[in-house]
Amino acid sequence: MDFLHNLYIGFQTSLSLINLWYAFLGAMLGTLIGVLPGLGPIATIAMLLPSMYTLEPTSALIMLAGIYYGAQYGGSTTAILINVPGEASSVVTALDGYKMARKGRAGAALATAALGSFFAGTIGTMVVAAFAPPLTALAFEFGAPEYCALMFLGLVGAVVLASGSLAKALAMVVLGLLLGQINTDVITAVPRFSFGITELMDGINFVVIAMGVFSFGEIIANLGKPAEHRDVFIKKVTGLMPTKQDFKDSAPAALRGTILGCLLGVLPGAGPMLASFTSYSVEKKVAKNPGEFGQGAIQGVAGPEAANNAGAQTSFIPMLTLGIPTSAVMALMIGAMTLMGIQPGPQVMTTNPSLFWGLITSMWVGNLMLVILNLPLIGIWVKLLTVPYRFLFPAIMAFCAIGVYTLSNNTFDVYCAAAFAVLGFVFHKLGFEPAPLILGFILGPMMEENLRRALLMAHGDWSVFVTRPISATMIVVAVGLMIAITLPAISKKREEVFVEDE
Amino acid sequence: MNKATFGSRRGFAKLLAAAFVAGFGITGTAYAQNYPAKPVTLVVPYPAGGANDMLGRLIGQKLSEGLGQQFIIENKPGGGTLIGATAVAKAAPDGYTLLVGGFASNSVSPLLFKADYDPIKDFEPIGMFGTAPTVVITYPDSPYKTIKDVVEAAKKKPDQIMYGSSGNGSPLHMSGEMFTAQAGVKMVHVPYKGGSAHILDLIGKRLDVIFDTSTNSTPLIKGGKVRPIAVSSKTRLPDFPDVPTLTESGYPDFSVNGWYALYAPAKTPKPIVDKLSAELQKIMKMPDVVEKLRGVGVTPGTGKADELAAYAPAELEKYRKLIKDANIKAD
Repeated sequence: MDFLHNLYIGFQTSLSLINLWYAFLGAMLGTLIGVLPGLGPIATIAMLLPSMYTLEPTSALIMLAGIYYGAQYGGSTTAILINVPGEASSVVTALDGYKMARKGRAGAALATAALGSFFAGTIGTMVVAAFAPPLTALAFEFGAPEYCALMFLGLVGAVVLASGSLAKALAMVVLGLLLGQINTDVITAVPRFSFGITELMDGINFVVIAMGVFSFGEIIANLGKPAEHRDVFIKKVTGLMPTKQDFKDSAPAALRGTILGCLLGVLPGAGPMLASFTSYSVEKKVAKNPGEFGQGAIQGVAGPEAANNAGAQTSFIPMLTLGIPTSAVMALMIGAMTLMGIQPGPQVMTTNPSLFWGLITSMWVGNLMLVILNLPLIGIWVKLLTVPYRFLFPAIMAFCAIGVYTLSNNTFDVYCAAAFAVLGFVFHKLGFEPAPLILGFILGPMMEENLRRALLMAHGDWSVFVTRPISATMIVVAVGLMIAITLPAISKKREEVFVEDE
Repeated sequence: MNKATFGSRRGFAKLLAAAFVAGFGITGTAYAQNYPAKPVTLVVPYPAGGANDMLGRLIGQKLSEGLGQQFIIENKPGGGTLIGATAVAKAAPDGYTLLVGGFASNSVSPLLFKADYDPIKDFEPIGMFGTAPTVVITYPDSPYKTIKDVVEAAKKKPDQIMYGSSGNGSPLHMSGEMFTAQAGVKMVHVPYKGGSAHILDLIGKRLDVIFDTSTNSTPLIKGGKVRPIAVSSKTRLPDFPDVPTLTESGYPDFSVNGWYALYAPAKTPKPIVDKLSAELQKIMKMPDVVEKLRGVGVTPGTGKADELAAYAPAELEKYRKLIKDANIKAD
C-alpha cells in the first residue's frame, strides 16, 4: 500500500536519532518561547530561523515543525493558566481551561490539552498521508460564496459561545463586527475608519484585542478586589492528572473535535480556528450539562484543542499537494526551505520523498515530543500559579506587553492593547463575555470580503448564494440555528440553563 | 506626542554626533572603515514569510558573513509597507538601519496611500538584488493557450474574463491594469487579501488568468498546477524556455516587475553606502545566491547603487501615470 510505504519512508527519516533530537529540541524551544504570552509560532520561528541555517535541511524542517507545535502548545498553556490567549484558537481553550485552573484543576486541563492534541495529531497525520488529494479537492469546492456562507454560519454559532445573556452575546458579536470594519477595503483599497493612522490601515491585530479584553481586563478587575479575595488561584490543587471520569468525558469530545478539525483545517485562512470554535459549539450542544460550559467543563478544553491540532495538521495539505502556503507559519517554512536550497512546490513530493514524508511524520513526532516534554512540566506550570498575585500580575503584564510589541515590532499595538484593557474591565464589570466579540471581529471582515468577491464574480447576482449546493446548505443550517436560538420558548429555557449564578 | 519625543531624541543624537565629528575631526571615511561597528537592522516592511522577507534574510545572512557584524531582520509590517518604510526614512542616517524595499514601499504604496515620506528623496539607494517579472498564468486545461486567446475572449465578452490579484496596488493588479490598457480590453479585477486564495480560485477555475509575479508562480508552474501563457521579461526566462514573452506576443511596452532593493535613509555618509553597495555587488555574484534567487523566480540584480538610483524614479513615474489613467484611487 502506498500509504503505508509513504509513512515508512517518512518514519525512516523522522525517527533517526539525530532527527528525534532536533524534534525534541524544537518542541522544547517552542514551548519555552511560546509560553511567553503573545509570542506565537510565527514570532518564535522567525526568531529562531537564523540559528538553523547551518543544519541539514530535513533536520531543520523537523526542528521547525517541533517549534511550531511547541509554540502552539505554549499558547494553550498560557490560555489555561493565566487567561492569555495568544492566538484565535486558544481563545476557546481559555474559556473553560482557565475556569478549570481557577478551580484548582489546571493540571487536568493542561494534560487534557496535551493528550487531546496528541490524539488529534496522530489521526491528523494519518489523514494527511492517506487522504491529501480528496481533501484538496474539497478545498477547491470552496469559492467565495461558500466561504461567505461558512462565515455566516460561524457568526450565528458565535452566540452559543457565551454562557450568559443572549442579548449581551449578540451585542458583543455586533461590536466585534464593527471593530472588524477598521481596515482597508479589499475591493477598492480605501482605508476605512483609520483616521489617517497608518497602523489602523490593516485593522487592529486580533492578539491586541484578545489580550486587552481577556487578560488585562481580568487583571484590572482582580486588582479592584480587596487583597484577601484577590488570590483567585488555587488554594488546593486537586490532582495534576485527569481522573478516570475526565477521560470518559473528554475522549468523545476529542474524537468529534478531531473529525471537525480534519475537515475544516483544509480551508485556507480560517480552518483550524473555525474548527476549534465549531467544536466548542458542538460540545456545548451535545453535552448533558451544557450549564457547565464556561464554568470549567473538560469537554470544552478537549474538543477545541483536538480540533485545533487536527486542523493544524490538515492545513498542511494545500501546501503539500499544491505548494501554496495557506498560513503565515507555512509561508515562513517555505521561505526557510528556499533559504536552505530546496525549491518548494508540489514537486518536492516526487523529487525529495524522504524530506516530504519525513516532514509529515515529524509532525506526529513533534506532537509526541510535546506530550513527553509537557506532562512532566505540568507540575512546574501549576506551581507558577502559587506565586503571589502581587508578583504574578506585573510579570504577566510585562510579558504580554513584550508579546504584543513583537506582533509587528510596533509600540502602537501596545497602546492599543492598553485601550482594550480598559474596555475589557468595563465588559468584566457589566458581565459581557468577550469570546463572541472575538469571533465577530475575526469572521466579520472575512465574511464581508467573501460576500463582496462573490458578488463581484457573479456580476451582482445574489442568487449565487442559494444556487450552489454547499453554500445553500450552510445558509439553511444557519437560518435554522438562528430560529432555534431566537424562538421564545427555547430562549426562555436557555436563560434558565445558562444564567450565571455569580 | 509620541512622535515628538522620538523626534527630539533623534535630534539630540544628531547634534551629539555632529559635535563628536566636529570635535574630533573624524572623517566619513574613517567612520566607514569601522562600519559596521555594531549590529545592523534590516527593516522588512512585511510580516515574516513571503518573498521580500525571504530575500531580506538571504541578503542579511550574506552581509553578516561578509562584513563581520550581525544584520538583523526586523519585520515591521502594515499599511501597505508604509510603516516599515517610514521607520527607515526617519531613522538616523548612520547606516545601522536599512530598508529591504522595492515595488511597494518605493513606488506603488506611496502613490495609493498617504505616505509620510518621499519614496525617492528620503532614501539613499544601495543596490537592487533582483527583479521578478510577471508571468501570465491560467489553470492547466484552460482554453487560453496564448495571450491572443485571452485578448480575443476579452474582446468578445467584455467584463467577463476575470483576473485575480493579491490586492489593490500589488504587482499582479498593476500588471492587469497595464495589460488591459495596452490591449484595449475590459476585464474584471478580483482582488484578494494577500495570501494564496487567488491561486486556489484560479486552480478551481473560478478565475481565468492571473498576472502573477514569478516568485509566486514558479513553483506552481514547475509542479504542473498552473500553466504559463507569457512572461513579461524582455527575453524568455531560463526556467521556461518554451513560454513566449509579451514582447513576442505583441505587447513590447508592457513592463511590470516586482523588484527588491536595499536602501539607507537619505544623508547616510557616502563611504558607508559605497561599502554596503560594494559588498552587495559581491553577494550578487555568489553562485549559491544566484541559484537560490533563480529557484524562486527572481532575476538577480547587480547591487549597483547608480542602477537603482535610475530605476526607482522611473518606476514611480510609470505607476503614477498608470494609476491616474486607470483611475485607481484610494483615500
